[in-house]
Amino acid sequence: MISTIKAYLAQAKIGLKVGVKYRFHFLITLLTVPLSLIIYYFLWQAIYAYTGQDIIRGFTFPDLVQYYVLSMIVGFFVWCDVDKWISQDVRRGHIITIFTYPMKFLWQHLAFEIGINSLGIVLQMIPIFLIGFVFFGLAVAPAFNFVMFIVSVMLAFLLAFFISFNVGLSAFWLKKIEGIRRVRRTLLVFLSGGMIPLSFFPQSLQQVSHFLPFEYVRYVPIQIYLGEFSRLGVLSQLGLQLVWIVLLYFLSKAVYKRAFKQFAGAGV
Amino acid sequence: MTKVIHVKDLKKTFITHKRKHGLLNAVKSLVKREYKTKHALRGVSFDIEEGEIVGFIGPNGAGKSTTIKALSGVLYPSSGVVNVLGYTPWKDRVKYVTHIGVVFGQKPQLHWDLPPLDTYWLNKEVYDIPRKEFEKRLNHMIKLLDVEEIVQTPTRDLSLGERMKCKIIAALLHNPKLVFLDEPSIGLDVVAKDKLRDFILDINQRLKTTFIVTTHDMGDIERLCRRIIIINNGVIVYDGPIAKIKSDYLTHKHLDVKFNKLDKKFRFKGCKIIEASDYELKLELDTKKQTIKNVVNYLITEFDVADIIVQDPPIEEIIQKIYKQKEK
Repeated sequence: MISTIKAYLAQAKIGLKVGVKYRFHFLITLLTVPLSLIIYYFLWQAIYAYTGQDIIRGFTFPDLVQYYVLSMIVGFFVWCDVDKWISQDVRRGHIITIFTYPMKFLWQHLAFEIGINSLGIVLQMIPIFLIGFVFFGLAVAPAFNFVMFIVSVMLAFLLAFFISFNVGLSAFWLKKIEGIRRVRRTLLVFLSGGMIPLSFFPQSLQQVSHFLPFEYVRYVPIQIYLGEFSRLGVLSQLGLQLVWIVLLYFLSKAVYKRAFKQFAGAGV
Repeated sequence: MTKVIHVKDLKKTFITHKRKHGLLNAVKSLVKREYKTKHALRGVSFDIEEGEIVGFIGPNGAGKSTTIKALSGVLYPSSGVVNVLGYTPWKDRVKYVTHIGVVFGQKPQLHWDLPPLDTYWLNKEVYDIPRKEFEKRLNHMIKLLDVEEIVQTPTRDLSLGERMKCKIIAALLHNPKLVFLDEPSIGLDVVAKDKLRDFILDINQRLKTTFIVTTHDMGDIERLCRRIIIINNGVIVYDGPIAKIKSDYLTHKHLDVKFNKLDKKFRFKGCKIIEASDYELKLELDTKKQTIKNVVNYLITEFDVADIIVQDPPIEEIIQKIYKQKEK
């Protein structure tokens, strides 16, 4: 048991080392943050001025700016390209070397992603927080909300991982999954409230979205930070995140089993 | 002697759909697919004892890699029995593969962006190798293969041959009882090939590690293996000592000679001309009747020679000869 944990920790360390190799990439993408924020800032300033309202769909203008800062933070943290790695390995035929390595496929990939993303905390999350505090009026959340926000973001990462992982597994049948990956990315940005908060959506779409995992990847952690839920509400949202994680975990396991059968039967 | 591998009547049939070329056919295949079955293995049986080095050869598509895949647990056969080290390889994959080592000559097995050393330290945890043991083995292997600098360089900056050596270390660090080497000498120069072969022999003799080697390089086979299995069309056509193959079938060498000027008729005992042009001769030499040395001497003294290449006949030719002899 302990040796197994040590093995996956070592795998996470590999992810971290690869991340360090690509620190430049992390830092460069960081530059896009102030730019996007400025665009959103002026866009919404114009919208609020045009409508002449102080509150639109429950958001004041400063609230909305805070929303976008938090959206960037969560967006970076939950970024997960595991579907890309899996499909590349399948198409180039490297996947066989992974199957002859004594690690569980799912956990091997999860550990790697945790490793690479943990660098994002230092190189992306903290700097964007600082930018938000200094330039965009991001309020310091109460301790409870802040801690719960962090917990919720971690759960959101797991959710994003399992969604991406399942998309990646489809490569065992489809080989080229660029199209599905694009759909996955769009859904994940749009239905998680990455472009506009979910409360701006039509009622019907909001209702549907409650039954999908996407809003738990971004919208929910942001709302926790902004204090939109009661304490009990926060806990129940975390509970819902957990339920989705468990569901997607079992889905991943079932799909993986079939993917391996597909591979070992056809000998891709 | 303990048996490491037991394979009995292993069969594998693939079902693939026929793909004809052309746009119209591509569209047709969306509506109606024609399926065809391909028998990759048609009943393969063999046993391998501990400490053997067995060469596994055959032309492309013969069933070599299908067999290796079934043995390394990444292929479900259609029928048949496989027992490796007490395991059925395709069941309980993770547990089984801790006991074997696999090297694919054509595939990356080290982390591309990191030095091989990082992969080794990962392997230490993954295979749960005690630190002292790990360091002892690693230092020993690094010295034998002379890769001290190389293992500290990111894999993507290494040459094909350097990567090969590093991959082999990665596959052997956990002292597997059984190792599959698929095309291990790809990308290696003559000196490196020699070093690698010595290295494999050393591991084999000291630790009684069993090796299965697939290769196109007859040199690998001759230096490493006492036994070879030749597979063709999904069946084993020969399973036995290499010495017999050498004396019975490797009786000829192919010489490819290029001339600056070919102004005389070539005639030499034990030498047959297969193909001739103005500047080139392809010869077949019967090594029972004539030595390479004599022919080369004759060529150099009598002709204006630009280049000579001496080769073993291709594996396909040996297989044909085996078939012919069986028919007799």
